[in-house]
Amino acid sequence: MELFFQLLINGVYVGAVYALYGLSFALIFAPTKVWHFAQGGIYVLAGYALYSFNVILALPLWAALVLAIALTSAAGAGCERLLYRPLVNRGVSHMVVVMASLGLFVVIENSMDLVFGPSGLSLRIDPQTPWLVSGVVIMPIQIIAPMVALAITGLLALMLYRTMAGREFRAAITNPELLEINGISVSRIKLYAFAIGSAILPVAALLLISGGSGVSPTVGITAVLTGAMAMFLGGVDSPLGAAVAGFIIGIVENLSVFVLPTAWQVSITYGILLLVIMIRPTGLFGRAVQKATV
Amino acid sequence: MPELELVNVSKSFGGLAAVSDVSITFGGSRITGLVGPNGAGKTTLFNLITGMYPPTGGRVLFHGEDITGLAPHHVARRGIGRTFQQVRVFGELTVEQNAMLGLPEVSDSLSVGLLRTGRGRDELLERARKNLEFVKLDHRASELASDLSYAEQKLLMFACLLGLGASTLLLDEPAAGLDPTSHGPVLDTIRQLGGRGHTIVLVEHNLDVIRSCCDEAVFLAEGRVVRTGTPQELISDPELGALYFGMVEGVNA
Amino acid sequence: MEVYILGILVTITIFALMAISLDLLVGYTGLFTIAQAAMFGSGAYASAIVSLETGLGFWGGAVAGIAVGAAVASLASIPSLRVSGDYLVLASFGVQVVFHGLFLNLDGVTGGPAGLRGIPRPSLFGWSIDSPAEYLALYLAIAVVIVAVLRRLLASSFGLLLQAVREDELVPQALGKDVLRLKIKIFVLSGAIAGLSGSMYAHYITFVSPESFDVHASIFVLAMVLVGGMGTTWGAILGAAILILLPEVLRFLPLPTMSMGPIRQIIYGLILIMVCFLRPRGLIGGRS
Repeated sequence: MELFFQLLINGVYVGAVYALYGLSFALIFAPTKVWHFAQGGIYVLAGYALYSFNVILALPLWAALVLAIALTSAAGAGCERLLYRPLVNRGVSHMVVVMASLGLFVVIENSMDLVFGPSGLSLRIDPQTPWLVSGVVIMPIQIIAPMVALAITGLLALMLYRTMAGREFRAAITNPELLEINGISVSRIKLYAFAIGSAILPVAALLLISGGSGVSPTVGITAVLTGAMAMFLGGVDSPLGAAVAGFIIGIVENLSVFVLPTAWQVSITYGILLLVIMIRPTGLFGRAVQKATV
Repeated sequence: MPELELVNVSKSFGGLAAVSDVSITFGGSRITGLVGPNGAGKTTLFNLITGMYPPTGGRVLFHGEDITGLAPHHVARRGIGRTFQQVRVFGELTVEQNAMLGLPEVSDSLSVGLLRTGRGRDELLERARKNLEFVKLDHRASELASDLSYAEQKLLMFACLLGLGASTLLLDEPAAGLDPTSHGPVLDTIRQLGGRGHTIVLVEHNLDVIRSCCDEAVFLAEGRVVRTGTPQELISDPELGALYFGMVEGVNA
Repeated sequence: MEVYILGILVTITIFALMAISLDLLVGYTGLFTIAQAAMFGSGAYASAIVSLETGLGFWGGAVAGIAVGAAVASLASIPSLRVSGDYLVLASFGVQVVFHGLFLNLDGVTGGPAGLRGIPRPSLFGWSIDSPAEYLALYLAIAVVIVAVLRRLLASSFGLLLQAVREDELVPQALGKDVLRLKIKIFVLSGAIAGLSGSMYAHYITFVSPESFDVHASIFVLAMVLVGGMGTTWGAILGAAILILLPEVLRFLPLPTMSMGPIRQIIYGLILIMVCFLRPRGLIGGRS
């Protein structure tokens, strides 16, 4: 029983991080329809940004986070302005855009590897004292993370549904032509989508790193794939749905340790996701997308 | 036995009823027109017959056999061919390649493809050419389909369809987008196909087309059959006229 | 020096075949997948295991590689074809990661992170293939046969249907073609060839490990297809040649060995991005 709660706590923790991955990916995809696989590279960049500010420049953690958010947000916006926008304007096919994104992913990840080396690095974080609650070990970060994720998701929900900007954003998701007709710049909304979506990444990275994993160049794939899968499960047009889905994925992944050794976790998670694709090709909450349109 | 029969067919999308309780029989080498305002459900009926999506109620019978909900390629092989509202040809292929595509021998079979001899291929080309001759496009056989005019591309769609060898043809707005001078070849082709014994169902907005081609017509509105008769009967019916033009001018579903 | 060049040619031959297998999916049918390394790797592992466990050597291994590659492809095709076009990329990404996970975790079968060593070299009628020149002769012969058959297939009515489906899926269905079955066949064909090239890889390097078959490898092959020109056999071959030759220049520069790997990858990534901008139809000018 204690094992169950231990796994659940960890699941909630990891789920919070995955929720942020999903939120981030979906915020970008929904209005732009770009498969931003380079997101994995931006995520790696976020980790090393934290490291550079916190360890190399010896800034306090909160300052490092703020700066990392600024940097990552700019990098995300840079992707939109310098990579995707020019390509789309040239009229290349979707395939080519995705390939460029994959290329950028490879470049960023390996640049970090080149500069900082392949092994994991640590941030200057005070070691946490775990709590022991009726036989279950709880790290403070495991409680903080879901609260942070909830706060960010809540904040974004407020922005999306209570502000004018949010309404424009939602309109850009379903009906961009209508916006253009009314003189609202969809390309500006896309830029913000990339900026805000990317800004979430350093937070997610920090939450994960605080739990003991180091800053490393190979974490990008998991981040972007989990984010993309969460978006798929949560319904492509719904960033909030992606957050919920990411959370669920995290919990399921951890509870599956009951049945399988840890090394298999990730494979099983994606295996289950593929199964979901086969059973419900439109995702769990997604609206039906008809394959054929006449 | 009617060739194609719709029995109490209904289709709803979400809460919206696109087609309600429609029963029509087609057959006997007749050319039947489906008319009605936008949103009346005409193209939806085509999609239901050809299996793009299943009906929410009712059945589709072909030569007495229940084909309701069969996948599109199965329906096509049974003998029902269709064209689409928008011109759909393979622009990156030549005209004669387009025509060949209709032939059943052009299939996903690896062995047939690998083992076909040069003579076999020539035989296919020959049949494709015959279909192109019928629509008078054979002189443009080696050109890319994207280089054809809009009207010629419409004729090319017919040539493809002929390759299929279907007995029943569903033509979705064949005259759409054509100026009246270009109507001629298209209408001639349709009449000739009727003459060859095909059962043809046309969806059309253009009443002249209906009047000049069709043996009978069915008036649909809001997913239901309102009236059936000869084109002349329907056109001179004042109630239908009001319904048609009233709905065209008003806000349609 | 001669040996070095011949060795590179062997590598190009192997990867050209893999690139061609991917081009079947991406260039000819319009199915954008990033799971090729999964099929390549499955073929490599299958070939290694079969030849290590039985005495069948390269030829038995190659048959296993083809079979397993085809099997993995048909498995991968199920989720891939169930989703609508846009999500194919996502589904294939998932497949790739799952299989890489299998290579890494199925310790008993695949040797885990350490991989499998001592894979036997090919032998032909008792003649053992050792030198790069002999490898090149054998592998080139195999590749030529495969490519010849493939070209004949693509020039046939099957190829015509493929081209049509790439442009529009609806009309072929309306003309009675089973488009789904066509796509599955292409997947299986692609997987079989990828598996074969995987087998050739295993018996050349004589050692397989999971890191050769991860998503970066898939991206690498995708880059080859794009750079050369999608939808043309020569494009895939040219792309393979360029992407393997170019970073070889690095060998002659005074760089620390630890940096070689990342620098190589960065070069691939940059080439990929550049081609997307400057010549998305590839060097030979295939589809874009």
